[in-house]
Amino acid sequence: MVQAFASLKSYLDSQVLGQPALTEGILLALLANGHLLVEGPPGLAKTRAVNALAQGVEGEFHRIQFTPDLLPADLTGTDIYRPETGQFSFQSGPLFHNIILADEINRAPAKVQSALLEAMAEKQVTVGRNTYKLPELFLVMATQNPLEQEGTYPLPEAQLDRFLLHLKVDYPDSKTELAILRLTRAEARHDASLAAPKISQTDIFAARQAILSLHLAESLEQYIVQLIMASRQPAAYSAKLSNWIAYGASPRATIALDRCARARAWLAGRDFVTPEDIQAVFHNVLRHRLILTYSAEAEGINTDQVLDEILQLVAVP
Amino acid sequence: MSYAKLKQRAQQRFIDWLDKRQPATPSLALTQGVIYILPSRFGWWFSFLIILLYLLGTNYQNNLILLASFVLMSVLLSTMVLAFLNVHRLRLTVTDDAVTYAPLPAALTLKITANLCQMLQIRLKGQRHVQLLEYVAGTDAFTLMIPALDRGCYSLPRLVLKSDYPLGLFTTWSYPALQTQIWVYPEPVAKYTDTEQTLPQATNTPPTTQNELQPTDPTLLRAYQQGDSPKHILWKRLPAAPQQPVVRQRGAPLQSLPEWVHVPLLQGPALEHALSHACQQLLDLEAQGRHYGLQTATAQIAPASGQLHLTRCLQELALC
Amino acid sequence: MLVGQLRLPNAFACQTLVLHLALLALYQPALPLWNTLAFLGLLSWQGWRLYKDQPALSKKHLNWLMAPLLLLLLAQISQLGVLNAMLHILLLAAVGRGFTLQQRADAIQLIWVQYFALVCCFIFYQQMAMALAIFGLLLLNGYLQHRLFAPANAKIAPKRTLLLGMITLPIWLGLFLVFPRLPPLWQIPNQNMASTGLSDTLDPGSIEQLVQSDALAFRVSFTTEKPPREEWYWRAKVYEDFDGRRWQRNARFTSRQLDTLSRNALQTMSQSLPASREHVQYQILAEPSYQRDLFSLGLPLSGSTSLSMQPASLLANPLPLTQRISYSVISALSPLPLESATERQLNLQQQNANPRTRQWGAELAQAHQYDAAKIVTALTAYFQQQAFFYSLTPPRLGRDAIDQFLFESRVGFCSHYASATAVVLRAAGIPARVVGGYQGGEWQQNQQYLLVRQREAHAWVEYLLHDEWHRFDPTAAIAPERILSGLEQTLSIEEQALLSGWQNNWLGQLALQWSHLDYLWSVWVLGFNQQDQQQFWQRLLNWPYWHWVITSISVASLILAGMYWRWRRSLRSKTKANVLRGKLSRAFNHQPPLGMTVAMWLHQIAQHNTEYAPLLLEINDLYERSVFASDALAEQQLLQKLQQHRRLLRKHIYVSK
Repeated sequence: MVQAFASLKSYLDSQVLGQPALTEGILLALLANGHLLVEGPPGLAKTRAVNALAQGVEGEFHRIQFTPDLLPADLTGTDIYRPETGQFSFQSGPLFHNIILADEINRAPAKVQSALLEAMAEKQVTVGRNTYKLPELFLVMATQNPLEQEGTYPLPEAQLDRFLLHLKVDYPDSKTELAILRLTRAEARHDASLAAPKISQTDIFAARQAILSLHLAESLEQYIVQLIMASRQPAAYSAKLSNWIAYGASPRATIALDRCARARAWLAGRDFVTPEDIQAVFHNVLRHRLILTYSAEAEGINTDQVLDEILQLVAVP
Repeated sequence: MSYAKLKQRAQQRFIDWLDKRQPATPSLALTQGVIYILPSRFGWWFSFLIILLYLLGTNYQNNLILLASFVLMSVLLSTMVLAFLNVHRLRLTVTDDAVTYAPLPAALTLKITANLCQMLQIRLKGQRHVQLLEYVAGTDAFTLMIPALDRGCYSLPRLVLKSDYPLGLFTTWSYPALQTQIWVYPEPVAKYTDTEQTLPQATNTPPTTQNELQPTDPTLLRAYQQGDSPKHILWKRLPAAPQQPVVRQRGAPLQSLPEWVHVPLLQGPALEHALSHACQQLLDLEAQGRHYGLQTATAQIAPASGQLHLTRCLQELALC
Repeated sequence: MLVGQLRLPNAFACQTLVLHLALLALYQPALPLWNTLAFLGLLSWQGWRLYKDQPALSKKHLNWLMAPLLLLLLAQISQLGVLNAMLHILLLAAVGRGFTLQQRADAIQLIWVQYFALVCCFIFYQQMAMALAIFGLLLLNGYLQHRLFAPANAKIAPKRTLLLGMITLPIWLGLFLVFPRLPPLWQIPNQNMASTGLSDTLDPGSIEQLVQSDALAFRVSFTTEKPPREEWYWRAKVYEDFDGRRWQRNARFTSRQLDTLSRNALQTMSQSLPASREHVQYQILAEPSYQRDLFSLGLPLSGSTSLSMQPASLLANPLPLTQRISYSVISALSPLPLESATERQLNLQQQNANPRTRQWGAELAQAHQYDAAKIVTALTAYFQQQAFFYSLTPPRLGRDAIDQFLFESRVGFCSHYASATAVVLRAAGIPARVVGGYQGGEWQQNQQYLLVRQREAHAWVEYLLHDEWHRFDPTAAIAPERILSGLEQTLSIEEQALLSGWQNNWLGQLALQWSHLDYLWSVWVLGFNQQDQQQFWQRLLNWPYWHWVITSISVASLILAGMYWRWRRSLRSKTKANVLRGKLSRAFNHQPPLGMTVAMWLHQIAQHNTEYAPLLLEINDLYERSVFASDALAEQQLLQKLQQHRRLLRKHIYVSK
């Protein structure tokens, strides 16, 4: 089964050049049963990556472009009156797909964002008096554009941690840029590229089960807890850190860290988790869950630097 | 009669006691609590030898004979410790259930990890067939043979681990219970009489590639939703229903129509027959890479494909 | 029983055959020649069958083979005695089982019988070398037993086995020292053996043969000050009946009833005797002689419980000595008391032979007014003044042997002189008798014991003076060196060569050293008895420093317990990861930073030390498996690896700090 996912990863990497962190993040979110928030300038193959994932996995894909005039019902769907039957029937919205790309999520007003985030957290949609279950395989990848700040609605920080991972992507280097150029040219000429593997939903659920039964040593559980505690009570570790962090990570972060580390270990073909796994996913898991103090921002410290500091201060087993 | 009854009751007591002491787990390390050591028959003879030599030495007032009896005594005592250490910290792990089709005996793969364990005899409690593991150092995969069983699902009986190593003076026992199932699926039998009806033919379902190009196939169209790309809207249909634009669905179309395998409500040999056929059908469908579901009298499994799905279906058959 | 049905291990049958041959050799004292040949035949047939790789015999065939042998044994049983018959049966059982070996289960009984048969060899052999050899065979049997229950191609790990031996050593040693010893529970059957040492008759030539033997007779260690060499007259036998040529023991020594009568005369050791300067206390370790007589100095006053007092102040064992025994005696170096009037009469008997001697005796008596002391002085003077010679090779003597010796040949050995002196004294009307025993011995300065060999055999005379038996050694008059420094000094070079050729070279030295070792072995292993055990405990209990030892041990154990407790607590607070990480940093002499994983640290090191990268990656893998997958095996391997490469890791690996 790991093999299937490994080939999926290599397929994604062949489709999305120069963004291994992005493809890995997508796979981790898929395996850890979570959603991801991707932040980066436009044109970085975010859509392409999710698209490729939808190719490789048995499931329906839908892209939603968030705009200021979007309404919650445009996501969830609405009850429509049918004159033939004289009854209201539910017309399901685009959320009722397996893989969803919520593009430029910060362009829609808070109401719409909340509707999406709630659906993500509860895996169900409530319209009127009825509640509708979303499909069992449900992955949302939301994107955010940091370049255009005008006319955007920043996501409410308290709800941000419904995302399992917060990835930051940036422009690739020149070598990768060249490869991208060639790839698009080849595609335009309809050259055969790597065939997409097909992974069924049952396989994904089985993989999720296998990941949950992976061995996580007690010392590593302790390590995870210590990392989170360091974000909450930084004073115990260093004065500098306590100066920077206003609010630490929630218990959801602990769970997310555990799941993502497991998923990463499983993808690597191991049957146990190592501290590398935890450290590797640490930034992506905690990036959107910390709230920095004003002084940190004044010093020009960003979240990644704070997280680096935490990693250095907490003893690794 | 009463003796047999008494023996049976004692056996049952022992098993209950064991169950309370060591409930079934997927992985078990042999520790002090679950290892039992008793002198073997030869061990008793050896003790008798020691007493005999002590008497001989006493009567001849011969210190060397006494010394020899003491040396044998110390050998006896240290053998007890060695026999314990031989199986101590042996770890048994089951990873998967044992699976087989009806008349064939199943085999369960156990992972055995030990520092160094020699001459380990393994059998199932209540069975006579013994398997010998001469040498375990590190981790070994061991195939435990399970006798042929009727269709169904069984939990693995307790194992009996036994070893006489190193001198045969003490026998160490352990009765580990491992948490795993033995699945015995029905025997797959092809239905020769009416193969055409039950086995879906490739011709019944046209190749999916042809389907893709026919935009009128209703399965590939659906109502427009917010966020759909305008490129996909079927403009031709718009005049017919201007309120409800229709889009062409992107992504992979469904491969084929799902196939249902039915097991009717039957009993006795007829049921077994039906199950055998259903089993064969399922195997064939999976081999062809088709979508299929299972409908039995008590349960229904939605159509899907893949090895896991097949397993789920076969397990349902075993439980019928 | 699955293991029992396995094929026998390789070469198992050959090894048992070797064991059986060894048993056959060891059982020689108990086996008549014909039986030995029969067993040898069986074993060689078995050897041939093994060589030809023939299958095992069936039970029925074996019965046909064994039945005649058993019948033969039954026919012999009255001659053999119970013990020897038992040994025969053991040997027969072992050899017979060897023919039918097929599966491992068959061999288990064989192993049992072999254990028993091998241990029975200790009845005959107790010398250290033989004992070690038998223990070696027992070890071989144990090895065979182990192979029956071990994998077919398993190898013995020498280190582990040695460790096991070290662990079992205190157990059996402790049992040997502490386990209660019982007196013999019932009368044991004895083996028939030819006796060695002095015989019950003494004729002029008998001691010469004995002195050519280097065999050990007994060994003595003195508890009190050792008496001077001229007092080392170890009495063993008294000869009182003379037939004109040969001396014989009187019947009173062999009758049983006297035994019990005189037992009271000897106090047991436990009734402590007032210590006196004249008393000598010593311990004797006697070799098996298959006779009852024991050795003592002068007048024995008290001794070990088992001893019995014989007439003429001799000591004896209740049973013939079939194995080494050790006993202790307190003696007074004084003349012996006359026991009864019959004893005086007994020692005045004369024979018709040797007329000249008797006449000379009568003349001497007249000349010295029947004064025993004066007559003895005169005799000494006579022996010194006339040309008497001391020799190992005296000429053969005719009918009136004493006459011939005293007046013609004048060359003789101690038995000649003693015999002649006794006859002369009796003729002079003084009760006299010949005493057989040993004189002298080699004093082992380093080991502080006296070694008495058969060649120290000696004969001297006791005569009655004022109702006390006094010792008179005519040999001392002729060859005083014999008494003062041993036999060799008195003999000519050729005669010394006759005694033994190899005593003086290095081989002889080696043999002597071995004999010292054997002495210690005898004293500490063979001689350790119930009494010693009691004494051991008593001495242990009476040791005055007990309370010191107990307090220091309890204080030490308290301290140790405290340390252990602290260690356990620190261990509990430390996880396995901490412990292993600490070990790693010690091995590399460098500590990874707090927040750096071991994997990253090792990868960094590997980048600087590309030639050792595989080793480092392997260490990393083992570390991860042991800490994060809780793999105990990997942990062991990791520790092994660190131990194995500790030099390399410390010295040759560059770690950027």
